Amino acid sequence: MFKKILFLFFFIILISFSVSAFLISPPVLNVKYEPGLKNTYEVFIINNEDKIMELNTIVDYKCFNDLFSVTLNADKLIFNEGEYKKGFNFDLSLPSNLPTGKYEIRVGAEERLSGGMLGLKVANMVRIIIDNGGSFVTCDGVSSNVTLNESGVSGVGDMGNNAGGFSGSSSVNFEITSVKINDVVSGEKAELKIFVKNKGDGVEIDGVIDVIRNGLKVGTLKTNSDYLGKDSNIVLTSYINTVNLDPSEYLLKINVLGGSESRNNDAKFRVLCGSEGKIIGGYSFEIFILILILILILLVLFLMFRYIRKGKKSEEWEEDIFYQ
Amino acid sequence: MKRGNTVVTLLLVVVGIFLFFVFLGEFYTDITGAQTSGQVQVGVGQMSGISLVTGFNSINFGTRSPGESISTAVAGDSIKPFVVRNEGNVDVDVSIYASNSLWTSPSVQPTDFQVSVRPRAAIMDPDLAGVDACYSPGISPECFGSSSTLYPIWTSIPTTGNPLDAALAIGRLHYQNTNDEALVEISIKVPADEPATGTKSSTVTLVGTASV
Repeated sequence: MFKKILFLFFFIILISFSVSAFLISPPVLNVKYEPGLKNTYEVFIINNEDKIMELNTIVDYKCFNDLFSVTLNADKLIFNEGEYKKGFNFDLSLPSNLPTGKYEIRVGAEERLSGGMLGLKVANMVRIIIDNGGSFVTCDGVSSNVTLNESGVSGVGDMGNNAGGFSGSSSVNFEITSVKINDVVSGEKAELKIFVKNKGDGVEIDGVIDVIRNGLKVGTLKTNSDYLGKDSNIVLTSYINTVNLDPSEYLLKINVLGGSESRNNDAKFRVLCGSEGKIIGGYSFEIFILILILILILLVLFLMFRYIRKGKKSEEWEEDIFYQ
Repeated sequence: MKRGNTVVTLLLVVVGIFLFFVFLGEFYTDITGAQTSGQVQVGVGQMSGISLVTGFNSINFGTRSPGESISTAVAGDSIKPFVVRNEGNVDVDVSIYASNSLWTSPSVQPTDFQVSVRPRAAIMDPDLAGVDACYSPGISPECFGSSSTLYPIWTSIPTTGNPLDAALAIGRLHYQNTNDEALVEISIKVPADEPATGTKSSTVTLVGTASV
């Protein structure tokens, strides 16, 4: 019995933390590669909850610590009550030689929240994209059309302009001839068709589309991948699920990737509110109410002036009667 | 009598104009991003950030014996998970890693320290239920290692202390108020041959970065 008790181990695991709420700006920092470039950049932290907090600034080189050097000018950021915004600078040094590709490292801040034995931290990081043409470079050293970042998120490949190509890509020559998308009622799927024409050798193509509203990206989607034969046409199709999209007008930044080249095009479509889709745009109801209030004001003004004129006439008539 | 009618009419006009401008103000404050109205220009910078917004300020797994499992996913239980919310104005990915393993046992398994992310909309617990949803990978926001089911699907927490090994917990967590929150749940299992008694320690880090 005593032996059994001895084998009964005890573990106390406690996570206790205060609410964390800080923001970091900018979310993404794009740096065009220049050999040996050393520049200073600024990152801002916003104290969203107006609370006292202590943040540690951090760098995550991912697997590129032998290529880039980051020097932070502050180890800690201490916010007192009422302090809303603070910034810190960092120096980024680029190597004199860098293989073609886009590299991502991160700079940010973390807050230790736990008061217990199982610690808890929240970190918000700025993605720093060092662009030397071509595709994103993954940590296994391979250039890939698909970003595989530390957490395995699937992202986009070469999002730049057509300049970033590999040698020997001259035979790739395709163009987007047109884009077709119709307005849809919120909750329905919008069908996007991208018509692509090939004037060069056969190539495997696919499309990446950024969905933008009011200048802010709200989503990214990919089209089906397909083989575009020599001197032939093809239609890339994608469906946009609008369940989580507010009724509004959306801009689509379309990027079709083929080989090491890409072609860009823009398109717009609207998500309509209401099951019948008769009310267009996200602010139609508000506009309707505004017009209604305006009409009411005009009506009241009209009635008021009419009443005043009528009053004047009856006064004149009473005066005439009096004189008579 | 006539004067009274005129006063009422004037009052109606004043109220109408007041309502017009109030409504106009409401209308324009709803618009986000850089907008131009007349000669006044407002620019809103892009910010990203996640926060933990749970009302439950601790997760206490208490005292546990070797071989015993415990998690935050038991509905109605006092051990609550925490809620991650996107506080910025861009979509974010949330990844997770730990500084080290909780256990020193040589036979420790990846399943001994795990995480699961679930939509609030799928939670039965009245203290945690909400409208926010997330889905299996492919539809955003994505709850990795889970789906929009009632039950958690556990994924081991990387315990190398290296952010490079962090596991993606939530993909493209929206910044809009709908679907900007998700539940992060923790599960532990004490290895049967854990050699040491006492308090175990590890630091779990949740990392928020703007989605690609």
